Amino acid sequence: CEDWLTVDLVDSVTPDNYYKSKEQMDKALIAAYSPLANMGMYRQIFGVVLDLGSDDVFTLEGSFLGYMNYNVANDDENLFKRGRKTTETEVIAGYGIYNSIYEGIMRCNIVLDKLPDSEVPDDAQIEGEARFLRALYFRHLMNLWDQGVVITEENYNDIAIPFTSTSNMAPVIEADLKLILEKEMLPHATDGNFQTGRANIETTQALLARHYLYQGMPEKAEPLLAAIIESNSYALIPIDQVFSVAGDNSSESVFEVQVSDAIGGSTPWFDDNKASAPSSLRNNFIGPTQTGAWQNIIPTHDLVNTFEANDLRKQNFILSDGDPIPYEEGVNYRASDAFPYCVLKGIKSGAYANAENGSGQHTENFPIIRYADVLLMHAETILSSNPTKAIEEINQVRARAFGYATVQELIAAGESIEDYRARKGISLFEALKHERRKEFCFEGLRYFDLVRWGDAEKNTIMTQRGWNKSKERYYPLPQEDINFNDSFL
Amino acid sequence: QNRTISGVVMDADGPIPGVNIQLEGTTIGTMTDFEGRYEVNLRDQEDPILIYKFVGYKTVREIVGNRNTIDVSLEMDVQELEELVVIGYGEVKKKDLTGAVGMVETEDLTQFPVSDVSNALEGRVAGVFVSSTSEPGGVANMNIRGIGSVNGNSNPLFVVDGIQMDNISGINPNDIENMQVLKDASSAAIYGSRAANGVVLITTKSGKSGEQKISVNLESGVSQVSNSFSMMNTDQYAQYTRDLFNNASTPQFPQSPPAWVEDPAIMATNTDWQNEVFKPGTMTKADFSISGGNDHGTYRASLGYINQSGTIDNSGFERINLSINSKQKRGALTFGIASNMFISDKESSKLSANSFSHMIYTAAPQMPVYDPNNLNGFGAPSIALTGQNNTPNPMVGSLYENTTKRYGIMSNIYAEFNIIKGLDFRTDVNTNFVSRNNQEYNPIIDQGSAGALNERSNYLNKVEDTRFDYNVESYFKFNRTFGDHSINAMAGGTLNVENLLGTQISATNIEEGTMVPQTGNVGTAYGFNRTYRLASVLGRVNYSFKDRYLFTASFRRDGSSRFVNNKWGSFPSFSAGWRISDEPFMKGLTETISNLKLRAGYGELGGLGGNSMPVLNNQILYPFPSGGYQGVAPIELSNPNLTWERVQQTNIGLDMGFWDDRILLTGEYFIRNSHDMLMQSVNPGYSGIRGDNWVNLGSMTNKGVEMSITFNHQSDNGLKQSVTFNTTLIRNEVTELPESYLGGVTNEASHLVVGQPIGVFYGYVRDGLNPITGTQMFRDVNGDFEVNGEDREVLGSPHPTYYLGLNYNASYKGFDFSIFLQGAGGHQLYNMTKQNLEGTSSYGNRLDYVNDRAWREDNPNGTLPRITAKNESSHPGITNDVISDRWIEDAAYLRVKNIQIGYTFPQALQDRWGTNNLRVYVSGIDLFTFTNYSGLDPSFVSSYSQSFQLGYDNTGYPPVRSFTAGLQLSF
Repeated sequence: CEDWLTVDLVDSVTPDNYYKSKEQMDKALIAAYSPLANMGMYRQIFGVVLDLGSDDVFTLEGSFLGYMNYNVANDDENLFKRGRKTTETEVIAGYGIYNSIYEGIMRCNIVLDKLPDSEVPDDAQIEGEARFLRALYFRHLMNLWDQGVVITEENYNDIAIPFTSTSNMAPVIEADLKLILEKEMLPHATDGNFQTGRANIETTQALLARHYLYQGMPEKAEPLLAAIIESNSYALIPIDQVFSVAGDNSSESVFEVQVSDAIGGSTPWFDDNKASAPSSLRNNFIGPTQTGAWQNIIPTHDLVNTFEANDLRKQNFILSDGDPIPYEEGVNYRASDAFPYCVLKGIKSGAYANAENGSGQHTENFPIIRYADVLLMHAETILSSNPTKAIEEINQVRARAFGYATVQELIAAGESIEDYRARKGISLFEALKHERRKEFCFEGLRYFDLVRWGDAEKNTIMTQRGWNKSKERYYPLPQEDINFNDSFL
Repeated sequence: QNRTISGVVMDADGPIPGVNIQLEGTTIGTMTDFEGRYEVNLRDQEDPILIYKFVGYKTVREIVGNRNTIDVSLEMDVQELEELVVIGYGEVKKKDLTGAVGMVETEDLTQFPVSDVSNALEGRVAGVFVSSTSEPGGVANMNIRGIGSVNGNSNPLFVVDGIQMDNISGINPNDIENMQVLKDASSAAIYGSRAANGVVLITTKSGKSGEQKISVNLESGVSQVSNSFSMMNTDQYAQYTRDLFNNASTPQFPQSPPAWVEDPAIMATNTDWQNEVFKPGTMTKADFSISGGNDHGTYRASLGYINQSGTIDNSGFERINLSINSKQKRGALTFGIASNMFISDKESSKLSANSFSHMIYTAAPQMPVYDPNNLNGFGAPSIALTGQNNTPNPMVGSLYENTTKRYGIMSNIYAEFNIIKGLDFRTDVNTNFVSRNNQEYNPIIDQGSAGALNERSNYLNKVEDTRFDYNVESYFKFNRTFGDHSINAMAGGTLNVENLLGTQISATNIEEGTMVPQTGNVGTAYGFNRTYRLASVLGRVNYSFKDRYLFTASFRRDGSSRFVNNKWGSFPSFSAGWRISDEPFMKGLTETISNLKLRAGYGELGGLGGNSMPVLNNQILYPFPSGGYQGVAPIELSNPNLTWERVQQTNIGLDMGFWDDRILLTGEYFIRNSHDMLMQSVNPGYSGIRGDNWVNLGSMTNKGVEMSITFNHQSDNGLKQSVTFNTTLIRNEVTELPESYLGGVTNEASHLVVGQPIGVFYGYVRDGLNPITGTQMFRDVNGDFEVNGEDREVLGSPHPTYYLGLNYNASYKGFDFSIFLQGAGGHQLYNMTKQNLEGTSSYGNRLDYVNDRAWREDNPNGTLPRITAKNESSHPGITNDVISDRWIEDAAYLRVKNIQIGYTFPQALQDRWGTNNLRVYVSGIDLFTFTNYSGLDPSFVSSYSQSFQLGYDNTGYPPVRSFTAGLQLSF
C-alpha cells in the first residue's frame, strides 16, 4: 500500500528525476550563477548600494535609497542603517542581498552534493565553477555581514546551523579556491574550451588574491596576481569602453556579471527567478532626473575634485553640468544644487524610458574583477618590495586613463604616477589609493578599500555621516535568522 | 338531501390509487380508483367531514361545506414511513440520527433559476453559509459552520450518488431528489480526511414503481441590475476636477485643470456609463423527465437545459444535462446505475472581473461611448478629454472574449448482494470525468495615446484540462434487530484516484480570426499531469436499545499520496442520542410533546492541502553570451513532514416536536476547532530559498448555536400554512499562530492575530476634519502625540455573527404563495468601491455627493475631506484615503430573496387535458434588500481566495433582480 501511495511527479522537474546528465548538472550550475544577476544583486541594487557607504557618493534625504539606506545620519528609522538591530521587514528591505547570496551558496552546494552521484562524477569544470561561485558568494557575505552561517554541501539540508564568526568562513573561501588551483579544475582564459562569462583559473587567482588582500595578507596575494599578469591573457581596453556595452566580456574582463536583454524581455523587474531577463535597471536609480530616472546616488564634489584636469575617466564616468547625455540625443546634463553631478559609468548605453518596455533597460555587464584591478592590486602588494615594477603597473592604468598608447608617452607628458605623487606631495601608497578611487568609482570597491586600509575612520565624509568602525562596518544580521537559529540552538 | 362529492387524491408525484375515504362518524366510504379519482355519496349527513387515509401518508380531514369537488393532496408521513436519511455509505432512520444533519427541501432548491444549486442554499439550512452570485453560471461561495482554515478553501465535499466532487456546477437542480448536509464531525467523519469542511450529500431522482410518468418544467425570465451608484454628470465632474487641480498639484498631476473642463464641445457629452454597460438579462430553462418501474426495477431519464444571458455584455451560461438512473433487482442481487452528463458553455465578461468592474463607475462622463475614428469604434480617453489616461472606456471590455466549455460524465455503478438476512455486501465503482476548455482572447485595442487598456498585440490563452477521478468502494452492511437491540453497521474499504492533466498555451500576435500565432510568438506552453491517491478503511456502528438509547461510532483511516512522511491519519467519531419522548415517564405528555431527543457527538476530520513534494524550477536564467542560459534549481522548500489539517468538532443537539409535530424545533451547539492548519512560515534567509515554507501550525475555533423552527398549520377551510425559521449565531477566533505571524499579518486591510476572528479589518480611526486645511484627521490611539502605523486598530470583522432565513408557504384551493427572507449581520465590509469612488487618490468619476459634502472654505461643515490631488491627510506620510473606518462599513442586511405565486389547475379540468399537477407560477428573485451598507451588495463575500482576506467589496458582478414565470406538469 505504501508503494501505491507514492506517486511520482511526472509533470515536473524534481530532485528525484534530475541532476543526472552532464547537461542537467550544467543547468544546476547556471542556476548558481543566476543570483549574481538578481535584482538585489548586480542587476540593480547591489552595485548601487555598495558605494553608498563610501565617500564617492551621497544620496538625498527622502530619496528612495536614502529612505532604505544607512547613509542619512541620525535617522534610526533608516531600514538599512548599519549597526542597528534589524526587524523582519529588513530582510525584504535589504532587497534580497543577503538572501541572494545564500541563494547562490545553496545552489553551489546542490551542484557539489549531486555531482558525485551524477553520470559525470569527475567533471572537474562543473565542480570548479561551483566552488568558485561559492567562494565568491561567501566573500560578499564576509564583506557585508562578517558573520553568517557557513553552509556547505555537507550540511545544506539542515537549516538548524548556528551562526559562526568570520574565522570559519574564510577557510571555506580559501579552501575552495586553492582546490581549484591545485587540481587545475578550470581552463585558462586562453584555453579553447573556456566559455566567456564563466570562471577560469585566472578568475580564481584574482578572487583568491582579493580575498587575501581583504584579509590583510598581501604576500599571499602577490604570486597569484603576478601569475595572471604573466599569463598575458588580459589587456586594458580604451577608457571609453570601460564598464560599457562595448567593453562587455572584453580582454580586460576577468570576471563580470552577465546582463542581457536577449531573453524574457517583458518580465517584471522585481522577478529574480521566474524567466527573468537580467536586463539591468541601474539606470532607474542613478540616471539623471531630467530623463525621468531617480538619480538616487550622486557623485560627491570630493570625488570629482580628485580627478586631474587631463584624466579622461572623469568625463567617461561622470556627467557634469552641460555634458551631453550619450543616450539622449541632443540633451545635455543640467546640474542643480541638489544634483551637481550624475553617474555615467555603467549606464552609458542606458535609456530610462524605453519605448517598448517602459523601464530603464540597459545591458552593460557589471565587472566584478577587471584587469586594471589586477594590475593595481599587484602594484599594492609590491609597493615596498619592488616599487619600480609597482609604478610601472600603476602607470599602465594611468596611461589608458589619460589617453596615451604607452606608459612611455604618459611619462613623457609628465602625467606618470610619480609626477602626480610629487605634485601632490603624497606617498606612493597614497597615490595608489587615489588611483584606485578614480579607476573603480561606482564599481562597489571603494568602501571596502577604505575599510581595509584603515582609512574609513579617518575619512571626514564618512565620519560626518556617523560611520563608526565598531558599529557600522557591517550590516546587521536579519533578526528573523537570529530567531530561527535561537529556536534550534 | 343526497349529495355526491367527487375529486382526485394525489401526492407530489401524481394520483394515488387505493386511498381510503370515509365520511366521519359513519361507515360510509369508498376508495380511489387507478387514476386517483373517487366519488362518495353523503346522504343526509349534517356538516359532513371526509377523512382521507392511506398507508405512509398523513391523514387528511376535509370539511365538505358546500363544495361538490374536493381534490386532496396527501403528504408523506415521515413518522409512519420512518423516513430514511442518507448519511454516507448507508442510511439510517431519521429518528435514529445522532449527529447534526441538515435537510434541504427539494422544492426550495428549484425555486431559484440558477444553474448551480449551491446558489439556492443561501439561508436555507442553519449553519450552512452561502454567498450566492448573480453571474450567469456562477458558483456560490459556501461554508459549513464557518471558515475552517487560514489558507485552504472552506468549501465542503459534495457527494452526488456516492461520487465525491469539489463542486456541483454540473448537476441539474431538477435532478436532485434530496440533499443532506453533514454538519458535525460525528456525521462527517466517515469521509475522514476529505470532510474537514463538512459534507453535502445529494441523491438524484429515481423512478418509482408504478405507471410511467413524464414530467415537464418550463421557466423563463428576465433580470436587471438592481442597485447602482449615483455618479457625477459632466458638469459635476468638471467642478470636481477643477477643485482637484486647484487645491494642489503633485508631479503625478498636471499643474492646472485639463482643457476639457472648460471646453463647451466636450462638456456637451454626458455619458451614463452604467446605463451603457448594463442591459437586461434573460433566462430560459426547460426540463423533461420520464420515469417508472415495476417490481424488478425502476428507471428515470431526464434532459435539462438552461440558458442565461447576463446583465453585462459577454456574460452568459448555457448547459445541457442528461441524467439516467436505474435500479434492477434479481433475487438477492441489486444492480444500480446513476449517471449524469453535462455540456456547459460559460462566457465571462472582463467587466465583471474584480480588477475591472470599478472602471464602469469611474469612466469619465464627458467621454463619448463611440467614436468611429478609433480602431475598435469606441470613444477613447484622450488626454484632451480626460486629462489623464486611467479612465478607460469600459465598453472596450466587450472586446475581450473569455469562454469556458466544460463537459463531464459522472457515473456510479453498484451491485449489492444480500448474503443472509440483514447482511449485504455492496461494491460501487464510480468515475467523475470533467473536461474543461478555457479560451481567452484579447484583440488589439487602441484607446488612443492615453488609453490605459491598450493592447499592442492580440493575445490568446488556452487552457485545456481533464479531471478523471475514480473510486472503488466495497463494504459490508449489517442491519438487524434482536429484541430491544438494533444494530446498523458497515465496514469496508475504498480506493480513490484523482488525476488532473492538461496543457496551457499562450501566444501573442495571432493571425486575426484564427488560432495561429505568427512566428516566434508562442509565449508559454506547458503541460501538467498530477495524480493523487487515497486508500481508506472505514466502518460505522449504529446501535439502539429500546429505540430510545442511540449510539453511533465511526472510524476511518486514510492514507494519502499527497504526503511524503505522514501519509496516514485516523479519524474517529462518537455520538449518542436519547429519545426522551419515548420514555415511559413521558407517556402522559405525548399529546403535547410529540418528539424530544437529545443528541451529543464528537469527531475528528482532516483537510488536504499544501505541497510536500519538492519541485525544481527550470525557468532560472543567466545570459551567458555563448548561450545555454537556462538554469534549474529549487525555489521553494518542500516540507516532507506535512500532513492533514485537523478539525475536532463537538456537537450537542436537541430536537423537539409539539402537537403532533405541528411545531418542530431543532437546536444545535457546536465547537469546531481547527488544528495544524497549513500555513506559510518564513524560512531563514540562510536556507537559500526565499519562498515561505508550508507547515502544519496554527489553530482556529468556530463556536456557534443553530436553531430552526417550523410551524405547520392547516385550517378547516383548506388553508395550509407553514413557517420555517432558521438562525445561526457563530464566532470565529484565531487561537494560535506560528511565531512568524505573531506580530499580526497585515495584508492591506486584513489582520491575522490571535484572539480575533480570522482576517479582521485593521486601520485608522477618523477624528474629524482639520478645520484649517479640510484634511482628514485620525485618532492618536496610543496617545504618543503622533499618528502613525502604531495607531491602527481593529475596525471590524468580515464574518457575520448571525445568519437567518425565514420561509413562509401558504396554499389555498389550488393557489400557493411563498416568501423567503434571508439575512445576516454582525459583520463589516471593506468598501473598496467607495474608496475608489470617494477618495481622491486616482483619476476618474466620483459619487455625485462628493462635491456637496467635501470641505471647502465656503463649506466648512463639509463631512468629506477637501478635494485635493495631493491625497494627504493631516498627518505626514498618511494618505487621505488610507484604510480607516471610513471604508469599513456595517453590512447587516435582510433580503427578500424570493416571492412566488402559483396556481395548480383543478384535477377535474386537467383530466380533460390528460395532465396531472399542472401548475403555473410567477416568481421574483432578490427583490429587495434592507441595509445601511452603502455599497451595491451587502452579501458580497470577497474577491480573494485566501480566507484571511475576506470582505473586500470591489463590486465585481453587479447585484441582479429577476422575475420568472414557469409551468410544471406531468403526464
